[in-house]
Amino acid sequence: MDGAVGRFMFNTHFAFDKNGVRFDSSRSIFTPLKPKQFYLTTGYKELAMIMGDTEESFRKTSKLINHIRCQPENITPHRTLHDQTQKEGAELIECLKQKADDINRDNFTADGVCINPEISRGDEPISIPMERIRKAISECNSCYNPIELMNNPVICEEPSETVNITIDDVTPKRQKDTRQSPKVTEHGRKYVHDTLCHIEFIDKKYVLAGDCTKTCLWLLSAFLLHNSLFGKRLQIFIDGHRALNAAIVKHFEWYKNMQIILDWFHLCKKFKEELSMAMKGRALRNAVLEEIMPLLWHGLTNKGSALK
Amino acid sequence: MSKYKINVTINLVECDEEANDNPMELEDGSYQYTINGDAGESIDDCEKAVLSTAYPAIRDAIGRHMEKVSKKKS
Repeated sequence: MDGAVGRFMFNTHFAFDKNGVRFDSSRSIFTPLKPKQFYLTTGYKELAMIMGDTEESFRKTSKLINHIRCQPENITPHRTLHDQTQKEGAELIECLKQKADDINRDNFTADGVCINPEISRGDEPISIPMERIRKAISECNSCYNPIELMNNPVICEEPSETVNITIDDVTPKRQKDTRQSPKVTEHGRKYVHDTLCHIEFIDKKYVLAGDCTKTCLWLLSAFLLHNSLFGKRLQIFIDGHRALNAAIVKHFEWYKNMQIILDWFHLCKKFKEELSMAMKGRALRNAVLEEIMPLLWHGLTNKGSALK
Repeated sequence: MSKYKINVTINLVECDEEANDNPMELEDGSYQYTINGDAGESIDDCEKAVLSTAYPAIRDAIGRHMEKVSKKKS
């Protein structure tokens, strides 16, 4: 076994008669293992994976855990830790998918369309009371006209009735097992596609990860249903990627109380890029940016469009 | 269903024995590590010595216990 206390082995027992093995404790009492495979304890997974290689490299984590466990010999090599973590991750994703399938069965079609009439389709969005908005604006000491600020077409949604969801594609380069060739061409590169979904409701947070957008949205539906969050406003923040936007719109087309917002980071990025193409010189671009970004931050889109 | 009791005692006592390089397993299954006088009076060295004695002892104790469980059920 590989545990938080170290890596070691112990003997198991079996009983047999003329008909063969009648009892094998390595399969009946303990988890059956393949040759050279170690049983990983919960403590080990917490140490080596949750607090280990999800934060640091396999090499560094392997060194650290073997040091902590005072294990100068029979150590857990970093390659083994890599394989263990990959296997654990695959099993975890499979388990999550299975759980999502169980939750979503009889409630959603494969495309995410709700078929259960008892699930809320989302009511009208609930806004923060005007009084509170007015009070907040007055406390802001803003140089903008309060009436213009309150005329923002995007509602100030009530946080206790809103689920904030951030969805983003993460596509890192797939690492090779060995570094054979120093020359890596752009076309020769292989990427790992993951879609991450960060869900926030009041003070609770959760992160879902899927191998594609469709899987991630399927997990998201199961998560929202399981936590009785359908009926709340779904405020979805994305990076402006059109395929992702289209997938979300299609998946939640049955749900009324949902809005997709381009997140602030990508809005700034997009503005910088577009203005760089449209304007000659960094100084001019930055001057316009300095003027337009505060307007957009305050939701004064009409004023932003009218800017000359 | 039987219960299991866990006992842990760690003693640091003065002795006249030769210092060891590593913890040694004794006949009764316990582990002993004799360190020199300077290390015995240093907090850092004591911590290191106690941990390097305790971890193999824990591994051995769990291994022995699991073997007994395996044999008992067989």
